[in-house]
Amino acid sequence: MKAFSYYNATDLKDAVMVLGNMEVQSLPLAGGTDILGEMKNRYVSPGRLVNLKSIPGLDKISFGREGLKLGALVRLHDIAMDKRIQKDYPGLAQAADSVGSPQLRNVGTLGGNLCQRPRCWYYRGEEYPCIRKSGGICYAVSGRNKYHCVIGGGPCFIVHPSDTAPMLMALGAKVTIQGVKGSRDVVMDEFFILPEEDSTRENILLPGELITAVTVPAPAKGSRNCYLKFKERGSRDFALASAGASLLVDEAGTTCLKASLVLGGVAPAPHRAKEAEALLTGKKIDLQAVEQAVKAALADAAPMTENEYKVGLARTILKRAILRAAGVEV
Amino acid sequence: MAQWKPLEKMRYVAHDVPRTDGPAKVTGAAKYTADIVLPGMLYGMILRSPHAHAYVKNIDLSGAEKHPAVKAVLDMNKYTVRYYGDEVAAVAATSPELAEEALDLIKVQYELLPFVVTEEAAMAPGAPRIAEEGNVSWERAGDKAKVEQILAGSSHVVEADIRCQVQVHACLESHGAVAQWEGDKLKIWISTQGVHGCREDFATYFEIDQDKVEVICDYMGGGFGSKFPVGVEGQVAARLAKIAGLPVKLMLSRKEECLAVGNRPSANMKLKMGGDSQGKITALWQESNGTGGISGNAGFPMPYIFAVPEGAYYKKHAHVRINAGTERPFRAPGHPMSAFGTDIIVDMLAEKAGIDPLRFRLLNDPDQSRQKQYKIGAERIGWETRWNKVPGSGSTGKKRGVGIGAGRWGGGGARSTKVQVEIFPEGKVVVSTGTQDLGTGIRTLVHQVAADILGIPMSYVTPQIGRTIYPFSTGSGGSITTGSVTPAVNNACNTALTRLFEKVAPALGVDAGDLACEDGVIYAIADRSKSLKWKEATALLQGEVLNITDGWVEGLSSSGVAGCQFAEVEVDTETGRIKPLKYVAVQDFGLAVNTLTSRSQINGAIVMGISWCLSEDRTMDPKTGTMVNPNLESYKLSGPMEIPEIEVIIDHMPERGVIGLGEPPQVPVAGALANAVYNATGVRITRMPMTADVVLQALAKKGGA
Repeated sequence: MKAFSYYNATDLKDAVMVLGNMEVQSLPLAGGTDILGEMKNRYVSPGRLVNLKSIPGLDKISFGREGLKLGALVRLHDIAMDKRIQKDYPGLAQAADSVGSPQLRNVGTLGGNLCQRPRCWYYRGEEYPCIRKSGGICYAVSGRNKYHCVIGGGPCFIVHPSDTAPMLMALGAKVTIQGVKGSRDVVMDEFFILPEEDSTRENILLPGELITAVTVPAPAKGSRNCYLKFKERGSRDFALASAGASLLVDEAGTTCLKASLVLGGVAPAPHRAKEAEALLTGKKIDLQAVEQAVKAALADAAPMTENEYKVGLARTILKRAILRAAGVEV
Repeated sequence: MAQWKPLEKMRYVAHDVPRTDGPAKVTGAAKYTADIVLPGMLYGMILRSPHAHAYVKNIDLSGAEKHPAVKAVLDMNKYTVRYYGDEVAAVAATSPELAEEALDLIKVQYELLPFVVTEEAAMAPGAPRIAEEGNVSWERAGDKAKVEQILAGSSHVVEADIRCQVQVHACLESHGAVAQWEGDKLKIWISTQGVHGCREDFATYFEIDQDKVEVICDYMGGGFGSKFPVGVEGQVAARLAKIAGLPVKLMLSRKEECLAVGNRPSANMKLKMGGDSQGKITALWQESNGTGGISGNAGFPMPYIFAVPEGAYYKKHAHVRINAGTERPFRAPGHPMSAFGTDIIVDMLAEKAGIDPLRFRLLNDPDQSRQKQYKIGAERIGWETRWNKVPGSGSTGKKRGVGIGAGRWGGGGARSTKVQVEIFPEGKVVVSTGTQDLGTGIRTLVHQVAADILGIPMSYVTPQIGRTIYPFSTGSGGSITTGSVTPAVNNACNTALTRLFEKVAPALGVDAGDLACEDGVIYAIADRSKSLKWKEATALLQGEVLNITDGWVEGLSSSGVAGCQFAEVEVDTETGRIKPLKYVAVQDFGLAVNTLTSRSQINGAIVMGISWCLSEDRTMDPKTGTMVNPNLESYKLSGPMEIPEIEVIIDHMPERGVIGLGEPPQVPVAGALANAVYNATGVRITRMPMTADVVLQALAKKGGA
């Protein structure tokens, strides 16, 4: 790790001012579980870390008319353990609980989970001047790629590593972004970007901008949700494939009125399974209907040399997430 | 020949005894090498090659030498670097961060050379030659034509392509040392499996007498075979300290652990096995290769476990060099690969012959211990009800099945082992020997045996190990530590007790030979009213410390162990997840000195074997010549969710004396798991690691066929 200076931000305005000052390259620090690994591997070496934990009030969970509001510094553990989140948004509690290990969830924050950098082993190694580090090539294309994306790739082939992002996107959440010029709200569907737009960042945040909060709409009557994650190793792993499913069902609880389905672990950003959503909407939710719907997911997938297995796996995980959200026993 | 005291006379031996150093370890009081901090201590760090194969054209150390925090710089004088991670230079600076900064200032000019990082590429026609000796050395046995003739005449023949991947040791504590020179004397704390071996290594390396070197390893966090020699890292720490005139700590990073300090070689084998109409094995045919990195050494013993008739075995094996870190011994070197291949091919032959694999083993395994163990294990796993007569015939979705694996190992004891026993007048006993505790529990075993042989409570005894100031003990490898140390402790304690009896006999008015000691009371065997409490007896030493050193004796240990394991798994056929549900391990290792630490050894071996079988994968990138996952995120060790219920059955044979246990239970793990997966799914998976992608692919192939 290279030497850096450390700054305790006093408030949000102070934080974005300091982060936006380009004289010293500055990066925000929340839980630190991601940035520390990056700095230790020496491909990220900021001149200054700006500590956000010194800003009061960013770690609150509150419920209002607008729905659930989560401060960016809310710890993943707190989301996973919150009784009301477990009841109203079980998928969100499941997503937070599926991240890393208890130790990581105890310090990792929601904002950090959404903004974490990819786990691609070429990106994570200082030896590889890859395209995500503003270098020339994606090493995964002709290299080892069993954990890489099957859709949405090019010229870089990462997968987005977040567990909370697919679920929040499925729940129709929006993020509040603070910049030097003020704050704005952006729906999750517009927050992440694909490599074809910019292969050096995973979301729309510009230097000096921060997520300050995430708002999840209040649950409508008949809403059901679930997050499922498949890990290669059952203990402490990133998703090979995951699925956030948010359904609106009729009074009988059997017909799908609306489906919001987002896949993780398969694309450089959380991937909305639009075809499956369309096929499921208006259908009676049973094994056959769900199987038919998920078959349409990832129809445009373009697997790499070592990751074709992810297509079928992601469909299976999506199928199970939908069935579990709907409470259908199979 | 010496004999162990009757078990009924012992309070600790053959019982569950918690670790003597458990509290020190869990409270942090135990100081490992990484915990050592000395006044003025510097931090050493090694510059490593970023290339798989290159000439070092020029190396400019001046930038590092000029750095104000740097106190020593070393050129490793390499003309050629031969793997990603090969050592090039080293520095010692006042902090780890400044040492890293200094490494950046060393400018190395490389001329890149072609490289190979897979067995296939190294063996391909026209492959770049990466070593003077060539990329491949062959090992052959038997007559191919003759064996093929036997196969052709056999009632049943099966064939399998087996792949065992390279496994890195992944010791929780990394390799490293803290070196301190006082004049021409070297004092070194080092994480090692052999303090006395290290003393000899350092003395040889620095051309000094062994008495000038003191090696200390009070505690260590695992070695598994990778920590015998002092290694480049140990030498570098001592050299830097010598140059700087200050102590130097050099502990390797996790990345360096993955690249440069050893691994278990791969084993890729094509096997054919024949059987007669009665289900007896007729022949074994093997063409195989494996790589131990740049050293190439990659052998494994075959035929394994089962009897193959004389002249009916053919082997052609390639030891393949690739541009990767060299192998080092790893928990039962070779055997887990032998067992994996054998357990699978035997399972296949049993099926082909229409014989239950359990009965097939009873028919073909000549070992009497395992004959008994198979039956015990089968009963405990519920073989009769849980084994699917038609593989894959269980319920849909998540499928269950059971499988068997078998193993053997040697063990033994080193005659050179010495133990010192000091009995102090206040009754305290200190037992010292220069062995080391890799985590296996030998400190506790020394403690138990000493207390039982002397006939006193363990609380009177302090065991001391891990230092070369204590009498010579051998390196901990080959599962010989218990067989070396405990007989010597037994003998030295007996000698000390005899001497003590001689001192106190006059006070009791009996002959020394008529005394015994039990539960802290020395008494005349013929008349128990003539007795002294231990501390009353030792007070008669009158200020003298009774101090004797004695050595290993024959009769208390032996070698050669057998074991078998039964695994039950559940396979999610939609996701490819294999979940081990239960293991039953039946293991013989003679006299179980500590049944608690013994079960721990077996538990740990099963976890390690599952980890190898299901998830560990040193992933080499053929394009860059690098290992892309030198970390514990994507080099995946088993965690708590992978660990099944484990039932350990100690096949206790105290009459055989003590035999080491560290390695043997590692051997049958993967084969049992592979056979259970087949029994669950009806799909034969013969390559490791059996990750979801591999399983899904195999299932899809079967489904499409």
